[in-house]
Amino acid sequence: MPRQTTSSFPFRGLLGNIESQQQDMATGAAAIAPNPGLSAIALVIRSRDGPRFVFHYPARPSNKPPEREPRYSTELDTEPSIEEDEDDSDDSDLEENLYSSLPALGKLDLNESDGRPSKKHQKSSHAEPPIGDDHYDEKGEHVVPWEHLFEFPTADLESILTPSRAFHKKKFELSLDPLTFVTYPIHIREDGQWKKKKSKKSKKVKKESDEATGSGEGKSEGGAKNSSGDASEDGDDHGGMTMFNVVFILNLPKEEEDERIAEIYEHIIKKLNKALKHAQASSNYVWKESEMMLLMKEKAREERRPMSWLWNEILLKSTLAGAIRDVFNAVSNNDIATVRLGASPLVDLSLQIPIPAYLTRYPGSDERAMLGLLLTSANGLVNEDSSEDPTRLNKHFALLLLDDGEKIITEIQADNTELTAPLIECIRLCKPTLSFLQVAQTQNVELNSLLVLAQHLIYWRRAMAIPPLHAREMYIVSPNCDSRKLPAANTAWKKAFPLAPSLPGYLAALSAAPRPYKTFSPSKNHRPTYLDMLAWAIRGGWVTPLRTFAWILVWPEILYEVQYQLKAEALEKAKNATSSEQTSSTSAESTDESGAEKKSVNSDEPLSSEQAAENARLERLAMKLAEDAAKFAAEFEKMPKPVATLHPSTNSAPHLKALSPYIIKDPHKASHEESLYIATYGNRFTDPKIKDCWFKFCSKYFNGKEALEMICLQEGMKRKETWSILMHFQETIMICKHW
Amino acid sequence: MKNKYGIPKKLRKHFCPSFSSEEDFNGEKKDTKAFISTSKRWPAGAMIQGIFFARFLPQKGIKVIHQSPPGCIVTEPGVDKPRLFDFETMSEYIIPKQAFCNRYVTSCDPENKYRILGHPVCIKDEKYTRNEFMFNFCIVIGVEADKIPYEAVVRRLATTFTEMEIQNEFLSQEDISNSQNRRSIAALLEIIKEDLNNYNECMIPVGTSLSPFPKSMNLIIADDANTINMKLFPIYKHPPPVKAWHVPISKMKFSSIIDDTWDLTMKKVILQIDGIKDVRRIAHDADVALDLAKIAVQHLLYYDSIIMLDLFLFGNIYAPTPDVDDFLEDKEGMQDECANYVYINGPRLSNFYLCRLFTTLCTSRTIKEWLKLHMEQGFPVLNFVDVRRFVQFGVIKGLIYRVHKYAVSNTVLNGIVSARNVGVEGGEQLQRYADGCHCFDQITVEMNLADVKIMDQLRRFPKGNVEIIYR
Amino acid sequence: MDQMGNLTIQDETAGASSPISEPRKQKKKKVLLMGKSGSGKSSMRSIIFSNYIAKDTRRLGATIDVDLSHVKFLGNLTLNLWDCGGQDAFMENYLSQQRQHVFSNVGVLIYVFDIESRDFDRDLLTYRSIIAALSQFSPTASVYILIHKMDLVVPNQREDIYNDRVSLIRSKSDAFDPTPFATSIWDQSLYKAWAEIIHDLVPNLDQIEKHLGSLGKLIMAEEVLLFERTSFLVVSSWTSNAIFTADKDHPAQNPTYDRNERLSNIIKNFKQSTSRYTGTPKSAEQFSVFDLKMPNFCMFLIKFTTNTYLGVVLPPGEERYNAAKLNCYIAREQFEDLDSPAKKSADRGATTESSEATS
Repeated sequence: MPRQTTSSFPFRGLLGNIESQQQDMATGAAAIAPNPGLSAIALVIRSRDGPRFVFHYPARPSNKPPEREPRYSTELDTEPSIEEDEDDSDDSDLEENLYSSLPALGKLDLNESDGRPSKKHQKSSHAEPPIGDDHYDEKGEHVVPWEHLFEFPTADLESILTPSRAFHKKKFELSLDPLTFVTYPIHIREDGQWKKKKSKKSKKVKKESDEATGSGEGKSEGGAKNSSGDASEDGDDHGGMTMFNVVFILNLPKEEEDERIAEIYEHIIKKLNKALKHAQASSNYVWKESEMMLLMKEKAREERRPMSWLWNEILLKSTLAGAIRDVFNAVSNNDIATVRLGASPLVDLSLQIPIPAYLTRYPGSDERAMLGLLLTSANGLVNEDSSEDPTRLNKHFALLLLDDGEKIITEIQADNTELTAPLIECIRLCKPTLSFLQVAQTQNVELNSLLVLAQHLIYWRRAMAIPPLHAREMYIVSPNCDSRKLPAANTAWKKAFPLAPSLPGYLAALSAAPRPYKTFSPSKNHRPTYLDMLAWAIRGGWVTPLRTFAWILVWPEILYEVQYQLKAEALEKAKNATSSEQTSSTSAESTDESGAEKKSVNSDEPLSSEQAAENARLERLAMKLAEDAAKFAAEFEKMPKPVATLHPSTNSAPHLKALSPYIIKDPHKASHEESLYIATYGNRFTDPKIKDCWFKFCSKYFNGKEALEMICLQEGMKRKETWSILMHFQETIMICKHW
Repeated sequence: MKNKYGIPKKLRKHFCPSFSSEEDFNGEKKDTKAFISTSKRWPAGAMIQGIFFARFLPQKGIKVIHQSPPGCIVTEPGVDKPRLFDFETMSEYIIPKQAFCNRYVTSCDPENKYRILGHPVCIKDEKYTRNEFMFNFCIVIGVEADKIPYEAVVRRLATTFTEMEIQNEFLSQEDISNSQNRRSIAALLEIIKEDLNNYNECMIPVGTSLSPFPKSMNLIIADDANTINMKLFPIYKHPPPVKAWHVPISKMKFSSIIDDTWDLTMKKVILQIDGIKDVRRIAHDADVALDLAKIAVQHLLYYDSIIMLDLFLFGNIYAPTPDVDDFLEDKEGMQDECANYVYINGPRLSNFYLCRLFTTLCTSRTIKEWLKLHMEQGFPVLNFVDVRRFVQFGVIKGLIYRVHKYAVSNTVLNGIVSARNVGVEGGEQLQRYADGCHCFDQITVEMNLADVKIMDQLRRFPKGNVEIIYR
Repeated sequence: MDQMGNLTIQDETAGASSPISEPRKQKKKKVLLMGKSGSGKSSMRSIIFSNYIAKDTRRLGATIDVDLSHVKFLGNLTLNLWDCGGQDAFMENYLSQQRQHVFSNVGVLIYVFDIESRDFDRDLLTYRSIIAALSQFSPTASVYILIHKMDLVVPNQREDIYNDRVSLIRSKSDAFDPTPFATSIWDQSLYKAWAEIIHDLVPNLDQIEKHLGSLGKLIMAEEVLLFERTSFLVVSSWTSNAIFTADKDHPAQNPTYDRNERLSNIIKNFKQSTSRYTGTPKSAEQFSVFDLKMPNFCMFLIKFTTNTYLGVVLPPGEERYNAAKLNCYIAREQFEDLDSPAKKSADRGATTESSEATS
C-alpha cells in the first residue's frame, strides 16, 4: 500500500530538527493533537545471561499523567485556578466511590503503592524510591540509580517485560496501574536465526546467516565459545540473545487509553521493533548495541558514576540509545521521528502518529479543544463520487504548503532520496489557486504521480489539500481559530505583508459579513498579495472557506402539477383497463361455455348454482369498478388545471394552500414522484443549456453535500458562467452556506 | 426488576440527582426535553467471559483454585470446552513478582482476544509458610469490551478478601476447612459473574453466608467490608469546566426527585435552573458562592442531567454547521422532534419551515435580523416558533453554532508580545478582555454590561485600536 | 614465564579502547541454583552473596519464577546466578516453555536437596528431568549437589543418610559427575561447599595460587589466605610447610579442618557488628587494614585487589610484620592483573569517555 512505501521514504534529517522550528506549522498542528501520554521507552532483551534491562529513556521519567488540553470545544479562555479545584474535588468524589475499597487496603502492611487509584494519587503522593543521580547505600545494599524505573527494580521489570515466544510478533500489553507497557516482542527464529534464509542472496548476507547458525550451535557450548575473543569481530556473537523488545511505557487518562494505545502501537511500536529486527538480522545490531550499553552500565556501576554522566556517555556512543531518545522526544511532541540505526547497511526510518490536518465537524461541548486546527467540510480525500479513499487525493483540490516553499525545498534537498527531485518539482508546480488537474494540464505532468507526491507531502505534514483559492469565493474566520496566538501571528503577519492591514483588522473585516473575497482587496493588482494573505491565513487555521450547499426545493405549484399529471395518467390507465376488462370477461365466458359444452358432451346437466353465483359476482365487481372510475373522473374534472406561474414560490392559488413545500433529500436516489418534480422544473427552462445543466447538476450537486463551488472545477466550466446559470435555479433550490 | 444503573450512595448523599430508579429515568425521557440524547456509556450486559481465583501455593506455585465458567482458565475433568487462553503463558502476569503486587494489573493474551483484569495481593506475615500469602481474583473480558467499569469491581474483590483473609484467614484456611466452604467461594464467583452480567450489580453478604466460623465471628466479619456489594456503573468522561456565563438547562424535573438527603447548595442551585439564567445569575439568586455553584452544576453535568448552553439573546448570531444536512435529511426523525419542541406558540406548521429557518441562519445575521428577514418574506416566525427553544435544539444537536464576538486591541496585542503591561487610555475596564480570547458573553456577565454598553466602552479606545472579530 | 599470558592480555586490552571489544575480557558463568521449593536456595544465596546472617533468612519470601543476580567476581568473572523458584508449576515451566532459555549456556548447576524432604523419590524424579534438560542444552556444565539442612538430622545418622542419598543421586546423574556436599546454614559447611564451588569457578586460579605461594615464601609468612570480596570466602590459600615441620607442641597452630570457613564466618559477623555499630553499610568496604597481634602469632587482613582481601599469618616480630605488609602492598599491582585485567583498560576507557563527553 502506498502509505507504507511513502513512510519508508523519509525526509531524513530535515524532520529531525523539527523541534527547533517552533513557528513551523507542522509543529503547530502537532501541539494540537492529543498527547500520546508517553512516559518512557525501554529496551529489554533476553541474552545468554538471562533477561537484561538494557536502557531506558528518559533517565528519570516523570510519573505525572500527560498535560491535558484544559479547554473544550472552541473556547479560548481558561480559569486554571478554579478548574484545578473543580477537577480535584470531583476526582476525589468519584474515586471515593469507585475505589471505596482502597482505604481498607491502605490499612494493611502492603508495600507502598497499594492499589492506588491512578490519577489523583500520583498527582500528589506517589511513593517511589528516592532515586537521585548518585549511588547510595541503604541497609547495606548498594543502590544504583538506574536500577530503578518508576517504583520498580529493573531486575524485576526485565523478567516481566520479556514475554515468552507466544507473544512473538504479537501485541503485548501489560498495565501496572497507573502505567501501561505496550510492545511488539521479537524472538529469534527456532533455527537460531533472525530472518529466514532466502535462497538467492548477496553473499555478504549469506555469510552472516552462516555465522548465525555458527553461533546457534555455539549457544549450547556454554559461555566458552562466545566469550573467546575474535567472535564479536564479524558480528556473529549474538551473546545468546534470543529476544529483544522496545517497550513503550504510557500513562494515560483511562477514558483515552485504548484509542491512544492503538495509535502508538500501529504507527510507532510495531514499525520500530520491525526495523530493529531487520537491523539485527542484517548486522547483529541490537545485540552489539545492547552489549555495549550493558558494559558501560556495569563499569559505571563499579565506578559509581552518576547517572547523568552515564546517560550522556551512552547517548554519545550508542546509535540505538540515540534512536530511542529521538523517538521518545518526537512522539511525546507529536512530531515526526526520523532515526538512523547505525547498523550496516544503515537503517533509516521515519515514524509518526498521523495528526489531523483539519476538523470536519464542529467540536462538541464535551470534546477537548483542538484550537487552531482548520475547520472545514472540504475533505481532499473524498473524491467526486463522494467515496472516501485515504490514499487518493481529489484531483480538483489544490496543494497548500504548511511552510515557506523554499524552506521546505532546502530541507528536502538536505536529504536526498529518489523522491527528492520529484517532490521539489511538485512543490514548485503546485499553487493553492490551482487544482491538481489544472496543474497537470497546464504543466503537462502526469496527474497520478503528481497526486502521489502531493499525498506524500501531506502525509509528512508539509502541506494540506484545500479547494483551490479564488477571489470570487467567500472566506470567513474559522470558528476554531486559536486567538491566543494572535499576538505572535500578528507580528509574523506584519513581516510577511508589511503593507497589509493588521491581522486583527483583516480578520475583523472578513468576519463582519461574508462577501466575495475580491471585494476586500483595494484594487485588482492587490489581488495576488491578497490571495497570498488568504493562503497564509488558511494555513494558520485563521480563515476557512465559506461554501454553498443546495437542496432541490419543490413548491406546491409543482407538487400539484405532478399530482394532477399522475391522476390523469391513472385515469387513462383506468379507461384502458375497463375496456380490456370487457374483452377478458367475454373470453372468460366463452371458456365457461366451452367447459360447459364438454360437460354437456359427457352428460347434459343444468348450470350448477355455483356457476350462477360466480357470474353474478363478476358482474357486480365490474359495475363497482365502473362506478369508482366515474367518481374519480368526476373529481378529476372538478380539479383546477395546474398553471405554471413564473414564480412558483409566490403562487398563492387557493388549491395549493393545503400543500407545503417539499425538499428532495437525495436526488441521486429520487423516487418516481421526485424525478417527476425535477423533470417538471427542467421542462420549464426554455434555454436548452440551462435545462441540461439543471438535470446535470440536480443529481450531482443539489444534495446538500457537494459544495456548489466545486461545480465549475468538476464540470470544467467557467466560474462566472456557472454562477450565472445557478442564478436561474435560485427559486428551485434551497441554499445554505457553511464552512 | 432490578434497577440497572444506580448512583453509588456516597455520591447521592453529596449532590447528584438520583435517577437511579427506572421510572424517573424513563419518565423523564418522555418529557418534551427528552430529545436531548444522552452520550453516556453503559456497560453492555454479559461482558464477563470468565472469573477466577488464583493463588500462589508454597509447593505447587501459581494455581487456579476456582473458576467460572468451569474449564475457562484451566482444564477441568468433564469439561471439553477450549480454554479462553493458555494459563501457563499468562500466569506470570496473574501472580507477578512481589514488586508488582498490590496494585491493579491487567494483561492481554497473545491472540489479543481477552483482557485479564486483576489485582494481585501479597500479604506479608510470618505466620504463612513462606512469610507471604499471595492471591488474585481476576475477571476476564473481551479485549474490545469497555474495561473501565470493571476496575472498581476487581479492586473491591481484592480488598474485601484481603480484609477477610486478615481477619480470619478466610482464604488461606479454605483448603483445610470443610468442603462446604470450598464450594462457597466457587459459588461466589459464579454469582458475581452472573449478577454482574445480568444486572450489572451484585450484593452478597459474604460474612454471614460464607464464613465457616462461629456466630461471634460472623458479627465481626459481617460488616460492610465483607459484604460484596458491587455495581457496574458507567464512568463518564470528566465534564467540561463550567463557565459563569453558561446557561444550564435541565433534562429532567428535579422537583420530582429532589429529597432531603441532597446537599444544600445543590438544592439551592437546582431551584434556580430555568434554562434562562446563567450560572453567575444562578449563584447570585441562590445566594451561593460562584465556585460552589459551578461545582454543583458540574456534578449535574457529570450525570448528564443538564446541558450547558450559551446565553440566549436576540442579538446573538448563530450559523449552520455541515451537520445541518442531517436535519434536512431528517435523520432519526429530527424534524418532528424539533417540531414538537418549538411549535408551541401557535398552530403547528410543516417541517419545511424549520429547514428554512435553519438554512437561513448565517455568520452575519443576528437573530433579530434573521427574524426580520422572514417577516419580510411573509413568515412571522414568532407567531409559531419559540425561537429560544429553536436555537437550543439547533445548538444541542450541533446543527448550528454560536458565533461569538471578540474585541481585539492592537495595543493589548503588542503589550503581550513585548510582555509589557501597557495601558490603553479609555480602555481601563475592558482592556483585559480585549485580547481576542474573551467573548462578549463573558464580559456581559462579569462586568454586567449589555452588548451596546460594551461597544460604547470600546469606542473610548483610541480610533482604529480595537477590532471586533466574529468567530 | 606464566606472566606472558597476562601480558598478552594486557596489551590486547591496552589496545582496545572501543567498548565493543571489551566483552572478550568478560568471563561469564551462568550458575543455575535449583531444587525443590523451600529447600533453602534463596537463603544460602543471600548468606553467601548478600551478607545475610543465618537468622535473617527466616524473613525471606518465596522466589517467584527466577531471581537473577549478576555477581562481579574474582578473576574478572561474572556469575549470572539464576535462583530458580522451586514450585512444581515453575519447574514444569522451566522444563517446557522456558527449557532452552533456562538450560542453555549453563556453566554450573547447583542442585539443592532438602534432607528432611518427605518424598525423596519425587525429588529424584525432578532432578532427573533437570539433568536431562541440562545434558540437552549444556552438556559441558559441571554439577554440584548440596544435601541441605543437615543440621536437622541427628549427628550420629548424618554420615549414613548423606551417603546413601548421594549414591542415589549419583545414579541418576547420567553423564554428569556431580560433586556432593552436606550443608547447613547454621555451621561452616555452607561456606566450605561454596568456597570449593567458587574455587572451581575462578579462572586462572592456578596462576593466582602459584603467585600466592611465591608471595608467601617471599614474605616468610606461615599462612596466606585470599578472600573473595563479596562472599568473603577463602578462594585460595597457601600454608608454609614450615608449620608442619615445626615441632608438634603448638596445637594452636594445627589447622582445624574447617578453619578457613570459620574465619570467613567470623569476619562476616565482625563486618555485621561493625556495620551495626558504625552505621556503615554491610556491603561497603569497611576496613582496609585489620591488624591482629598476639603473643604467639600475628596476622593482618588488607584490602588487596578489586575483588579480594588478603590475609597473612606471621610468627610474632615487628620488622618482619611490617616488611611483609609492605611487600603485600607492592604485590597488589601484580595480582590486580590476575584478578581483573579488564579493570585498568576499563579505567582508561572511562577517562577517554569522559574526555569525549567534555570535548
